[in-house]
Amino acid sequence: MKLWNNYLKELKIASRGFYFYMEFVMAAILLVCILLFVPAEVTNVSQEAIYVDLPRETLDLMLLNSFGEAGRYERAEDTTVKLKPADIVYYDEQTGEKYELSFDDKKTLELETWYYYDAATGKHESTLYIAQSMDDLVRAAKAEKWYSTVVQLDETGQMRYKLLLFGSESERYKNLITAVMDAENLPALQQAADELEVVTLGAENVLNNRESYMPLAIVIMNGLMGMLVVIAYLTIDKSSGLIRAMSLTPMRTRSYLLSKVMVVLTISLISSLVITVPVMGAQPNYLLFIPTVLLVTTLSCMLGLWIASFFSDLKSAFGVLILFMVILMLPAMSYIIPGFAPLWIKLMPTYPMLQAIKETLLPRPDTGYVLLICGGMLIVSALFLWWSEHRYKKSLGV
Amino acid sequence: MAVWMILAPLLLAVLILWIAPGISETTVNFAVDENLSSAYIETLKEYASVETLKDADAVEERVMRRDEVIGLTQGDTGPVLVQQGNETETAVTMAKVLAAMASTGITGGEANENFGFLSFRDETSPLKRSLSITMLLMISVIMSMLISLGLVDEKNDQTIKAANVTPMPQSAYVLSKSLIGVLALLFTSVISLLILGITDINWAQILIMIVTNALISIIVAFVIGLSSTDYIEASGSVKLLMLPMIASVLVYELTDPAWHITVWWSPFYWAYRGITEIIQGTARWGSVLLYAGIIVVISAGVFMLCLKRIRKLLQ
Amino acid sequence: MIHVNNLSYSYTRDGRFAVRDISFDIKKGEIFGFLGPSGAGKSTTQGILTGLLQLQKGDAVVDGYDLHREDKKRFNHIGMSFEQSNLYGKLTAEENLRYYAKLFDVPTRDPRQLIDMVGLGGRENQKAGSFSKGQKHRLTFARSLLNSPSMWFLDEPTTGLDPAIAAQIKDIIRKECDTGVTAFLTTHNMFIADELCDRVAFIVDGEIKLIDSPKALKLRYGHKTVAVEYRENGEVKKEDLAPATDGGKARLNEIINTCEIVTMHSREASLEEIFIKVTGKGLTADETVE
Repeated sequence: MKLWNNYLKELKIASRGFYFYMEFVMAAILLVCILLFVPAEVTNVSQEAIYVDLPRETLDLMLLNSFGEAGRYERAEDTTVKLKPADIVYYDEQTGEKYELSFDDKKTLELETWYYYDAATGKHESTLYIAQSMDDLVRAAKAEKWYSTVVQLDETGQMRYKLLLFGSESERYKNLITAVMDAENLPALQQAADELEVVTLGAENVLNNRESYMPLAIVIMNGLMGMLVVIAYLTIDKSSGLIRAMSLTPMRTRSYLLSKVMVVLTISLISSLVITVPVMGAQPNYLLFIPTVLLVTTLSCMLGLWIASFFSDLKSAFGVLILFMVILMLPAMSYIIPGFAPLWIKLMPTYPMLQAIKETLLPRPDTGYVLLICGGMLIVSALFLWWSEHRYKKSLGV
Repeated sequence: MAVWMILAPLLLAVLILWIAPGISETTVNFAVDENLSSAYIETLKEYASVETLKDADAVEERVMRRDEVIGLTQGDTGPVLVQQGNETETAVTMAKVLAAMASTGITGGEANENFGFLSFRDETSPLKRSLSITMLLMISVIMSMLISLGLVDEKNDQTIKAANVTPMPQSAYVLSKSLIGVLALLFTSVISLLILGITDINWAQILIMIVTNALISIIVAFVIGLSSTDYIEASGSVKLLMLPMIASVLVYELTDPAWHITVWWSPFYWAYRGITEIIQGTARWGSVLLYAGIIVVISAGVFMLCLKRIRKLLQ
Repeated sequence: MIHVNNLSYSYTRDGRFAVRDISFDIKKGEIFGFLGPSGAGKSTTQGILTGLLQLQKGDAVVDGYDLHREDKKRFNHIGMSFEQSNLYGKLTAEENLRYYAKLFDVPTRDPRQLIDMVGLGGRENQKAGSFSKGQKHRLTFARSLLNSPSMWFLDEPTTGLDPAIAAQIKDIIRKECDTGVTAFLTTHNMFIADELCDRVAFIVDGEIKLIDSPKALKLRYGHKTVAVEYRENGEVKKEDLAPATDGGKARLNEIINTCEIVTMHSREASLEEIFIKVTGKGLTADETVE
């Protein structure tokens, strides 16, 4: 009952402050940005440029016949590229020769554009821009960050390909390209890739591009902020001496801390629903989603409380908390680039948080997994609460 | 508090330096049935991260886990690619290519007269560049928070009132508060760039961009710090700055240039654009000064709007 | 009601004590004053007895509760009026008290009644953040009575209050203690201590120098004096004379007989003067008084 009364009091005080409403405004703005600027489906259309130092007929032949049954190129509207003055240096990696180019003029290029469509799916998969000169190719490639190819005939009449890279590519990647780009290899590789049997285990249980941003918004923008917010609330009470008054009542330290956390949970849950419901509709299992969101925020708050308990002055804890928040944001990289998931990333609490929230949003969530993660978060939160209570008992009232 | 807040971006710089190569090296993660031929598996290992498992069931179980792993098992007629269904298209395409290379034994890497590479030799990967510039922008937001929290402290301690009854003019007070933030910002930004190894740049240009970007953060910090009664309002308000910052970065990186007009109002966009060009080596003084000028104009506009309020709050 | 034995406390845990080896007992219903300059150890002692500071060395029993053992229940019987007001600025006066009352397991007083008692009637619905310093202090004082404490800690209860309100507060303290409430009062205002306390302890540099009632202290250490202003040779002069001594009596007679008296007052020694005499230190400064 004391905990509930304290929570209501804290909620009342919080609701009389600007921050309380600002969180909801932020959530609404984020929602608008997601709805307006994040498409539901992403078409991964790669862009490349090419300069072909060959007769036009050869180029046409290349464009129309290269892919056989796999796909086709179709001419599209020319693309306008505005180029600014630039000094560009590039190297021939085979000969080591250095090329230095200096362009003092602004130039507008109208690049001949071709779209490649995959035969099987009919999707526009890549766009090819044809430059009329090597200089134009290099300038456009540098400005627009396109991978580019130069096709020339050597003295013996053999076709030579050179791929213009940026410099950060790994040797592994270059070997891959060399294997694929070899004209002799390509048909064999293509055939082997086409003949490869593919089995899909869990089709249709995916989030679209827009929906996949939800876990990031909930965990990073809402959940993690709990670390800072709960300590900010404590700092206010400590600076005003209110904690001393609270210390002289039968209310337990744990109840006092929990009442602060409960206010943060309220704000976090409402903000999360503001963002999620319009985007996800009725798809998520809200019976799983809501407790997961609450536990994500709870764990963040408990972590914040625990870290701050090591500081005699709560204000100085802020800097460390920001440091921790920055580190805990790293699993977002793994979420955005799923192939990058080293063990140390998986061990950070935000990794399972993101995965658990994502799971609750799927059409067919893995309830067992979500409950496992929630259980883990509950246990760890309880541990941090116990530890923090023990530390704060001695220091909060001082 | 200030020390830790300054350390946060430096630590982030170290982390970016550490993880960026790992991300760039990432091709595909495979879970492979060990019953596939060893030559096949060895070929895969040259290009991807490979985990060998005892049988097809183990591979399927591994594929179904949270992270993005593509499986390869032994089928009746040859290897079978096993996917969960939620992998990125790029990963699946690359997996097919690598599987094809392993099947055919065509692995590239030999000297090839027909094919070669040209290179700009810019060793900063696009990811590292993007993370680094976002970090520079975040530093200005963190410094803004530092200034505003300091002002909240001064308000609560009533030292602003004490300062008002001295000969020190208000402008001097504002300048002294801002200077700390700007100096911390410059220090942290420079050290971060050094840590990241981004040194082959025009330092004068980048310092101009960093300082002008700080302007809007400082103005907002003053308004927030002086209006807020406690830490929670101040830190929550600074969160408001994060939105235009993130929006600017995302629009610049992920959308067509035609869409950039939607964030022309944000100084963070011009700062991001300018710093990107400087790091890429394509920036000219004309464009740098133009971007800096736009930022100053926007900041001046915001400052004029807030001037009355700042003056009132300082009293 | 309070038994303290050999209590010591060090903030730095390096042999430097804020309170060193102090012992005292307080009877039920007594108003006990802790008198000393800033940094003497008054707040430290109060902090230990209220539980804000952990007991380090020594023994203390407050209202039957041994402070070696933590027991949150004892706070049902303790009230504290802080020197620095600590209220929720965003809550009204009544909300502050109502919320605080819910934290106790015992029946509590009517917040409105308490608000009226301290002269804040009519301001129940005003946010505490908009109160003046004195009003905040009164509200903090009122809050300390919510749970009808049997053990009442008062830290500078009349600070920042005008004489009329201060008198009101003193009346309340007396009335409460007349009903059997035990009060532990810390102050460096000797007038308050003199007016209110049944006994006072002089504390300096963490040590108790002496404990006795104000009356007994004055009898023991104080002397009646007569302050006389007189005109001699056109000049106004002032002298303090002790009529209890032969010399003083003689000199007083001489002035009365030979000079024009401007003013003449008799007075007793104040607690402050006794404090300075006994401890060698002032109540308002840390410097040793010669």
